[in-house]
Parts: sequence; structure tokens; C-alpha cells
Amino acid sequence: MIFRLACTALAAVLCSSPVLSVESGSELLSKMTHSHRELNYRAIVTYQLGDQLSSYRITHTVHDGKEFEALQSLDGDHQDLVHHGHDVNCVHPGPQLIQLFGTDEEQGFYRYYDIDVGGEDRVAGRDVVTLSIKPRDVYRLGYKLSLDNETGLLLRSDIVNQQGKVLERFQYVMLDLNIPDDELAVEGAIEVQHKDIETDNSSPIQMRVWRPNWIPAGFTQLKDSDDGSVSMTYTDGLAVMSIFVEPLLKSEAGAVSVAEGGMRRGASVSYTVAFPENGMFATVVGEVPMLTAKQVAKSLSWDQ
Amino acid sequence: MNDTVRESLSALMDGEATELELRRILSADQEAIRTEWADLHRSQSVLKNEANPFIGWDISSRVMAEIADEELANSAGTGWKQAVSGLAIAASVAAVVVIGSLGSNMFSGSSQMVADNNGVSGRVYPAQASSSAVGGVAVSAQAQASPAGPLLNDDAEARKRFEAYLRKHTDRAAFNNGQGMVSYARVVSQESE
Repeated sequence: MIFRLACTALAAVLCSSPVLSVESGSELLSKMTHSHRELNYRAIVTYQLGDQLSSYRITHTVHDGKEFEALQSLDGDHQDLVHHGHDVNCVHPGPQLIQLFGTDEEQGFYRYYDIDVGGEDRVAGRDVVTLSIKPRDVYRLGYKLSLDNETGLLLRSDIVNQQGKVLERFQYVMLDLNIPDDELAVEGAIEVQHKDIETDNSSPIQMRVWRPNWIPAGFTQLKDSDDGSVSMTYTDGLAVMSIFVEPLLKSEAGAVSVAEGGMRRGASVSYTVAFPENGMFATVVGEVPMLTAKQVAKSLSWDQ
Repeated sequence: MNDTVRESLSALMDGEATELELRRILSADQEAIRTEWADLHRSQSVLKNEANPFIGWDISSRVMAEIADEELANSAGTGWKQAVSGLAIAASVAAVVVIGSLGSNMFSGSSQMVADNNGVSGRVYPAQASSSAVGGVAVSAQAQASPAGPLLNDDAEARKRFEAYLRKHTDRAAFNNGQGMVSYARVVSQESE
């Protein structure tokens, strides 16, 4: 009996050890989507766009199940943002897409990207594992992510275009996981709200009379994003894009001059199309290829 | 897609399409044409018992995407040069799409037929029709609007709107892109310029 027990225990150890040491791409990604919301940390992070580099201090704490987060710019003008009161258990659609299909790598999110777990590396003095995420179609961008081995925090993220060129990079240069869970007082900070707690009762919800007729496969509409009639937001788990619609004619200012065209900065692009017959113009903004933004903007139609 | 178009497509595949049939194909629903074209080739190679690693390849969308990107980078210059180059691009795209979609036969010889797209030099897509069974098909490429419109980065009004939209967009993106609050660096770094 004891012998049999010992055998079972040995077998269990032998079977489980390789599973524990090597996590799959989907497990790593899934961990990434929630670890940054659950831990207490302070970090210095750099944001690089072409030859410009800016740096920020990020502070994140969880107290009584509520998140507090602050982003403070460290160079140039003071630009500070805070966000608090977010329930740590509130899961948004983007992470849901990644977590939901984590077990089945041919479903949902995993149908649109190839994910390779790369080698070990080191970022901000910590051991990381690298993930290379390549889109399977032309409608999304690629990602090279470095995740902290211990916590799953995203310590470095490159967004690359279809040709492999890096469009922007976030990189942590310092990470401190031993901080108290008190909220940080940041003077003059702008309060960031997330949409589903913001219930605006002052203006009656208008019916949306327009819709895009084309959205790349795998993008889901965020329910909380549709504030009345002016915008819609879609995500595939990593890429997010929003559609904004405004009237061409504003009562007091007269006609707005709107030229069709695109705008680009880092990984973010926008594409504007005017629909004079409906008196409106639409702009698609997001971290997607210009082609996607353009095709979505062009596909809009109005109910007659 | 109706039967007339399907017959024209079949004629094109045999290298026997007339100008009228070509026009009919070009004006038909592109998505359906592409699917049908791929199906025709697939059934043909099954009939001939050929194994083809390139089946199911459709480089046209990728070419469109790359040109969309490059167009934007090049759109600073104006005038006739741009117009001429636009025409040349349109012609070469049309040629690549048509020749490219002629499909399996042309890929038979070399394994390195698809352009190395990283080069910025010239707009040369070495998709050459080899002297195979598929005859040269003359296509009159009409100048069409480029895949991406002009880049408005210099338009102050448009830039202001972009910044406002990007902020609203980031309010949604930060909670859905797996990156969190760091995403706001995109907005903040822009404002401090």
C-alpha cells in the first residue's frame, strides 16, 4: 500500500514538473491581462516613439478590492492621471477574449494571431519570458511582449507593423513590488473614468442610426462604449479601435471643414471620411493598420 | 456571382478571355471572384493530381496593405510627379493582382518569387509570369484611387481632432488592450509636445 502511494506520488511529481516550468503562450497572455490589476507596485516606464523618449512613474495598489492607479509624467510639463475605485474583479471584454479561449488555442483570439513563446531575457533587472505575437491577416498589428517571470507583468511591449517595423515601445526600467497599498495623493491630476460606471442621465440616449458594414473578423463591440449615438469601440483582445461620428454642420460655428485622410502617431492611426449626404463625418481611431481604419470608416452606412 | 461571370473566369483561366470578359470580371464582386478563382485552381490541381504548397495563397490583400502604408509615407510631395507615380502604382498593383492571381503555374519554378517587401527602393514586385501554359493577358489598368488617402499630419485642425479622439479612445483601450494605464502615455506624450 505504502509502495503504491509512493509510486503515485512520484508519478504525479514527474508529470507535473514540466507543465509547471513551461507555460504556454495563452497561459502567459492570460496572466498578463490580470496581473497588472491585482498587484501593488511602483515602476518607472519609458515610452518610445521614433526618436522621442518620454518617461512616467506608474503606481498601482489594491485596497479592499478596489484599484488605485496613477500615471505621472517625469519630463516636460506635469501631466498626471489617476484612476480609482475600479473593482478588481471587474473584467473587461478585451481580457475576456484572451482568458475565455485560453484553453483552446484555435478559438476566438487565438484564431487571429500566431503566438510563439520565445527565450528568456532581462528587463528592468528582472527575468522575463518573451512572446512574439504575429497577426494571421493584414488587419491587425504584431506584438513583441516581455512578461515578468514571477508575476506576469508586462515589462516591455513593442507594437510592430506588418513589415516588422517597431511603431512604439513601452519599457519598464525599474519595478518595485514592495509598496504599501495606500492611495497616493497626486495634486492636480486628471481623473480617468472607465465607461461602464459613467451613467449620464442628463442627456437622453439617442438611437444610433449608423453602423459599420465591415469590421475585421474577431473584433467584438464593447457594450459599455456606446454612449448614445456618437461612438462605438471594438477589440480583438489586443487591438482596440473606436469609431466617432460628428455632424459636419455645427449650429454656431458653421460648416466644419473635413478632409478625408489618415493621421498616424506611433501605433495609433485615425482615418476620417465625410458623408455629406448624411451631414456627418466619421473617424476611426485605433492601434490598427491604416488599411483597417480606412476600410471600417468607408464601410459606414446610415439608416434611411 | 452569375454564370456569365463564372464562364468568363473559366475562360480567363484557360487564357482565352476576351476583352469584354475581362471587363466583366473586373467589375464583378471582387471577394466572390477571388474565392471562385481559388476554387477553380484547387479543383484543377486535384484533377491533375498536383501537390501545390502555394494553394490558398492570396497576396493581394497584403500588397494592398503595404501600399496603403507606403502611400502615406510618400504623400508629402504633391503635383504631377505624385499623380504619375500614383498611376504607376495603380498599374503595378493591378498587374500584381492579376498576374499574382494567375496562381499556381507561375510559382512552379523558383521558391523565391515573392518580393522581399522590406526594401524601400522602387516599387518593383518581382512577380514575373514564367513562360508557362498561362498566356500573357493584357489588362488595361485604370488609374484608381490609392488604397490609403492623404496623410493629414500637417493639418492643425485635423490634428486637434485626432488628439481629442485618441483620448476618448484610450479611455476604452486602456482597459481592453492588456496594457492598462500605461496606454495613456500615448495621449500624454502627445499633449506635451
